[in-house]
Amino acid sequence: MSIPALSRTASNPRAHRQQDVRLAVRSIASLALLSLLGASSAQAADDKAWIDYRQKLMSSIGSEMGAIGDILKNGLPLIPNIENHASAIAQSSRLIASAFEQKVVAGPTDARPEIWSDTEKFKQAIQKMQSEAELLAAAVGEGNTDQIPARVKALGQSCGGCHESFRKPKEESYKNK
Amino acid sequence: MSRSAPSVLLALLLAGAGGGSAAAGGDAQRGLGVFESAGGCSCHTNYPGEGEDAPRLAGGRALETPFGTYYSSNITPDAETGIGRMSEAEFLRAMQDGLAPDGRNYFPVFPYTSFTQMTDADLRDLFAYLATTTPVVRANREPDVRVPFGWRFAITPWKWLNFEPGRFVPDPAQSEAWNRGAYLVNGPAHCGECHTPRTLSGGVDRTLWLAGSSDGPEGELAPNITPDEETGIGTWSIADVDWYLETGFKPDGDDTQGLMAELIEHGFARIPKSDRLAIAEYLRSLAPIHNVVKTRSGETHVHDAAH
Repeated sequence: MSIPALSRTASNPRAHRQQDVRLAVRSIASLALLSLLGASSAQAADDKAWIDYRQKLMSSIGSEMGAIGDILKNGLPLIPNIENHASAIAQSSRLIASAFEQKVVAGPTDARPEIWSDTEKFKQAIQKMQSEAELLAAAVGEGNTDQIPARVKALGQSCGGCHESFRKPKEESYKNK
Repeated sequence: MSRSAPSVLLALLLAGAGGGSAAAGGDAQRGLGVFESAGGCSCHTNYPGEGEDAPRLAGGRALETPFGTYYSSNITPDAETGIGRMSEAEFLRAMQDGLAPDGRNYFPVFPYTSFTQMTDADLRDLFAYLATTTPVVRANREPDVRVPFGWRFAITPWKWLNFEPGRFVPDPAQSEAWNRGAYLVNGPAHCGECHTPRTLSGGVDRTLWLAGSSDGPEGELAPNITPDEETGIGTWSIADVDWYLETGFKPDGDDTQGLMAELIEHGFARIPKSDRLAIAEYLRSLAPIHNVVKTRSGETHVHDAAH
């Protein structure tokens, strides 16, 4: 019981050699392809890690802002806490530029490419938020509670000022696709 | 001579302020409040095209719709290009019946379908307020739309299908605040115009009232604002809605972009807190509609009005 294909090559040394070459070429090609795939999936994993980090950083700022909102809109007796929340926003804002050092625009992200093409403006917008957050923290720390509404509004405008240029609007967001 | 010039100027200004058909009955100061409850009539200022220096209320703002692009009109009191020659009665007819002084129909991109619910008193005050704004010379621009959406005569049958003229009727079974909220949401604030999907004929789909739309103005996505917990604002408290309309901050601390940010800045942030709370109370009382609003290019569009 012989398998015809095998017995044919076995009986023909030339054909055998050719097949060896073909096999070798094929395995080199597959190895190359595999390593390429490996590289690109490593790249994808890397990109995803940058996106995850950026989103966590931005969400943490959102959470601090949400906490400030909770205190003010519900009249919680925690006004002094706003100083910490605002300081936390100022601290986190110092990390934004580094979080966006790596250009990643593909995948589940709403970052706009303008971050990397208009970096100076991006950095100014971050700086604006940092100063506004510091001003709010200072107003609360110094007991100037009457300034809080205006300071919160200005801080909010600094969020919006950056999002308007550098974050995709909701109709383009990956979340709504 | 040099002393009389300012007084002549003053007299002219006074004549200008009190003259014309404008200030007949309305109270301009109250009218500013009505104006703000309409989101500051933001569509009539071309902020997206001309930035913060855009001539206020002079129109020309491109309003992209699935039917084509319309341009908002000049509602400053300029006599030639604005509404300076319009009488108070003509203004009420425009807002409540969608009819121009010459009897032609306005395109329903002008949301008279909502403004028809507004009281005569509010509209008189609004008219008086608009008469106090700075006149700007800017001619209105015809729409760039597909046939038949640029045909004004086609609006008459459109109105039969999609327009119910008539003032807001309070529900005596509900609280005063609820009724105030219902009036604001359905009348001046005209929330349903953007937050409701439209039917093929371009009328709002009443079965999905306020359940969100992929085809908001300027191609924006308008979220579901019924109290559905999963797809709407069912997890928002009354205080959350009030805070949102005052600051643009959502409960999770995220901010607001686009036309809504303008409506908040020029409108809802300035109305009395009691009005924002009334809006919140009314929105909370609506039947929750489960409706996922996706970007127009996205294929999923889940409608499940049942629960």
